[in-house]
Amino acid sequence: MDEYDVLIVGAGVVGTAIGYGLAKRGRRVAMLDDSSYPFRASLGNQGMVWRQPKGYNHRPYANLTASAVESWAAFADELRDEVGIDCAYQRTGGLSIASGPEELAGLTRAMRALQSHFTSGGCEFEIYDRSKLTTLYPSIGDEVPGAIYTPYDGICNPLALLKALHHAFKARGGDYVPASRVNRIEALAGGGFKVFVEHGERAYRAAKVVLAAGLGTLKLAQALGASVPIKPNRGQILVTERLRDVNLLPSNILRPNQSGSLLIGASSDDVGYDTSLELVASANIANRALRIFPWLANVRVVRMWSALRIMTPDGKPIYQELPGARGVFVATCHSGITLAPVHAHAVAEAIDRDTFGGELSPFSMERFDV
Amino acid sequence: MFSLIDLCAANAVGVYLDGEPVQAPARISVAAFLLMHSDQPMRHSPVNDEPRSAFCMIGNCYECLVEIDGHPNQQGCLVTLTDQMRIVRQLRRPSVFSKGGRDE
Repeated sequence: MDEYDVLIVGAGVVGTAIGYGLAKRGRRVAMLDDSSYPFRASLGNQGMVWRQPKGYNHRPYANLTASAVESWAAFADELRDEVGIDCAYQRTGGLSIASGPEELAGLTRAMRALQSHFTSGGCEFEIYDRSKLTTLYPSIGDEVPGAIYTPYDGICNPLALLKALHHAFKARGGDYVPASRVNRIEALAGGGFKVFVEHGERAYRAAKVVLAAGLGTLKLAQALGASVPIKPNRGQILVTERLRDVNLLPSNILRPNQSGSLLIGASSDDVGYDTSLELVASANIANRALRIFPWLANVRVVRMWSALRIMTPDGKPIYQELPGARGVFVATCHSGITLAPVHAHAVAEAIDRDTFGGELSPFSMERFDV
Repeated sequence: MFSLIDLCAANAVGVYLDGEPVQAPARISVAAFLLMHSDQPMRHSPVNDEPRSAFCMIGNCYECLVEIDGHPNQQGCLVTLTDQMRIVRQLRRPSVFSKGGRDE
């Protein structure tokens, strides 16, 4: 039986970032991956590296997101140095475009609240009124009152990021084990864990286990006596044909791709473990986008897809060691792209040192026990 | 379900290619017709202006995009020629964002 310092359950952007971080710290790490791909948020997201207005009602999350975004450029450089893969990170600046006056007022309130967490600066934003917005986008929809602009937001290629993290993990000596869905985790009497994969025909042993299996974390933690309050939230995305001379900032409405296509999204539906596409959701996404950018009426949609977000009750991540199973750690969030640098550095270090102090301490599940 | 196409009945339909009237066989795809007609590209890539032409002919590669009867970016390999069809190759098209673009 193979022995490791740490076993990572799940090889999406969260698991690979933590696995890479631990391998880089010299730990012997294996990453156990599922064989089927029904719920991989790592493959279905829009690749936004995004701050506004995350954490406006929760200072630690605002700070965590800010520190992730601030380290993103260096992190992209680090991955390029490690394995020569470019994640195409661009700090473009980003917009939240309002459909009506109430939405603009709400966005403005949220940004003021967010800014109040950064007393020494570092959270600048601009309110673009309609006339400012029309200098940027002359044909913006008639009912659009304005938008929020921040210079911090940007985009990356999320598939390149996942690939870079996989390669970097392996380059640092990590063992990637595909087609190995974990079905049982057994605590050993003398310490450490035995992790059984598939139908129990193989097992791996390690001192620590990290549950980074997205929605799959739910059942694994349950079997260890811990209740991790996450549930799926379906997001659906429309992909347009390729366009010439796209000169648009990423926004809450769409993100431009280097390939010339636009990703328009995304819906938010609580429909359980269901990734089927719904025409009504597509129509809602399209209609909302058309109200903002009427020229989209001349652009064809060539594809659509959906994926499941991993949502906690307050939308913030969970990082902690399970109280009932010391040595088992949970890392889950729905912002695995934005937070990737934090996962590779701070979260990996916390797992390595068995202590989620500092900026990570507010993210234990105890916050839900009120 | 399957039937032989008589390519010898060459001038079966009249279509417009880039505005010019052209005779073409009936019942073949737009992409097949364009390949028969010349070795000119069917379009230029909107991303890097490279010339492109049909590659897979089965609807996968999206390389044969042309304007058909006023609708841009149609997959030429999946559309059958019909009489009076208007086909326009998408050569260095203006952007949807620029003046003179599609309907802007």
